[in-house]
Amino acid sequence: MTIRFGRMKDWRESPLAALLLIAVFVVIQLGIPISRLSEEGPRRFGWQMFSVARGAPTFVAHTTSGDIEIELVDFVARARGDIDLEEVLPTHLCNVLSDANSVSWENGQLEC
Amino acid sequence: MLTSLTSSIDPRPLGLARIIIGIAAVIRSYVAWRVLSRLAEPEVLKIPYAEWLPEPSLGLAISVVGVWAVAAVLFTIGWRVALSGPILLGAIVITLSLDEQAYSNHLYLMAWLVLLLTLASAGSGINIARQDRLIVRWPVFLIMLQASLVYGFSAFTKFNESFLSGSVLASTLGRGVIPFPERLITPQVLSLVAAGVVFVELFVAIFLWRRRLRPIAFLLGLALHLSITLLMTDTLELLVFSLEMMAIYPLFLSRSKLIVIFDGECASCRRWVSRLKQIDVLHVLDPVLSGAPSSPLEATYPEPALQLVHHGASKGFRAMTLALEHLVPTLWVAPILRLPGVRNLGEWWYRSQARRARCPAGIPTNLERGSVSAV
Repeated sequence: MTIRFGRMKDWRESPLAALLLIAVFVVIQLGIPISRLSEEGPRRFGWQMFSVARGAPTFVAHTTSGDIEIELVDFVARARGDIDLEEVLPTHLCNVLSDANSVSWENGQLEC
Repeated sequence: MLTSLTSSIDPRPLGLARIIIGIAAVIRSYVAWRVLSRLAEPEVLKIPYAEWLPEPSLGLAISVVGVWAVAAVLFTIGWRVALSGPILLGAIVITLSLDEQAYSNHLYLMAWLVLLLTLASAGSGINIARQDRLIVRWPVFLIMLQASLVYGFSAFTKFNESFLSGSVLASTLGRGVIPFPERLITPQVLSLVAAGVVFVELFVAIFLWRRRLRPIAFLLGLALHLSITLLMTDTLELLVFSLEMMAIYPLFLSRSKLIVIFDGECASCRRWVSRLKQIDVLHVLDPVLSGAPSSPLEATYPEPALQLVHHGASKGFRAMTLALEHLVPTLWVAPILRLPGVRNLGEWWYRSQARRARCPAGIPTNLERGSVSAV
């Protein structure tokens, strides 16, 4: 295997292009994670890996045939710490469980 | 500074990084399939970023993951990276955009790395065409900076009570391939491990850039990635993350050649140099026969059997360690040879090897006095 030592002629050699792209990279890579620091809980795009524990709540669907404790794996593709399931899952459970009258969890309840 | 950033460098370390990250992308395509095919099921929750985005379907999942896997393989072998890179990046970005549940930090990192590798013309080194071309330094610098930023922010965001008390680790440790001993899952031990994780991440973020402490940063980084991959949940995804990060480490190694001066009459030395050359994928070793006219360094470093000249001369087991720290695949684990005990054992072994081989120049008189600097 050989290396060609021919003079390269491409835009990457331009000092202006280098400076511009380094600046853009630094602004994005520092700006987004820093802006995420002020928000509570784990947040996406901030390199917050395993930094905060966020347990998933227990949901119970109250149906005409009785109460069903919801197994998250049946209704959620991935239960991530940066997703507020209390905000999005109850409405979804009401939509997919046709005989559900309400959905409750530790901190609230939703009438279907 | 600017001249240095736009200077041309050897493409092979970046080619190696591309191969490892490409393999990680191939593995990650399976995880993407698992997530996207689950999202296609009607009873599974959808959390789109915007209403106008298409809803995940089985057809879309097959298309995206199919394109992803093919592009990842082509990217890995270095086939038209200027084309396979953007296609792979597109598949990753589509996956990330389809649903909030598809997000992972390591997938977001993969998108950045594929972008930077493509920008850096990573197909220029160790490619299927077997023809290397010099590359420009600054995109490589950005990839190195990316590694430090990931470790740095990861450590910084762990400075909170939840993590430092060990409660985060309590819910994740011991659920991987290797169980964490139950009796060690105590608040005291978990707090200590948590503090250790933060220290290691900060240390690696900073000292990958410092030549003297880089071997320790390599060792700590390896220990961190091995332990999270084996001890924590989501083994496959943590393996992908570890591959992504460890792929960047070789970029931090010095670009200068390691000159190995060896005695051609010493069978042991010849054998070692031959073995080292076999695994010298990055072409960092420059073997020079002792006494050869092309050995201008001989005057500076006399009595060679196997010497290594790199930021000053190293001899014997130290030279071997230094060489292995620059070779693939030993570069990630070779710093272990610097540990007290391991180093002493290595020096003893090396001396006995040299004695057995009866290297005339390899056993200088000071060897008999147990010198650690001789071959």
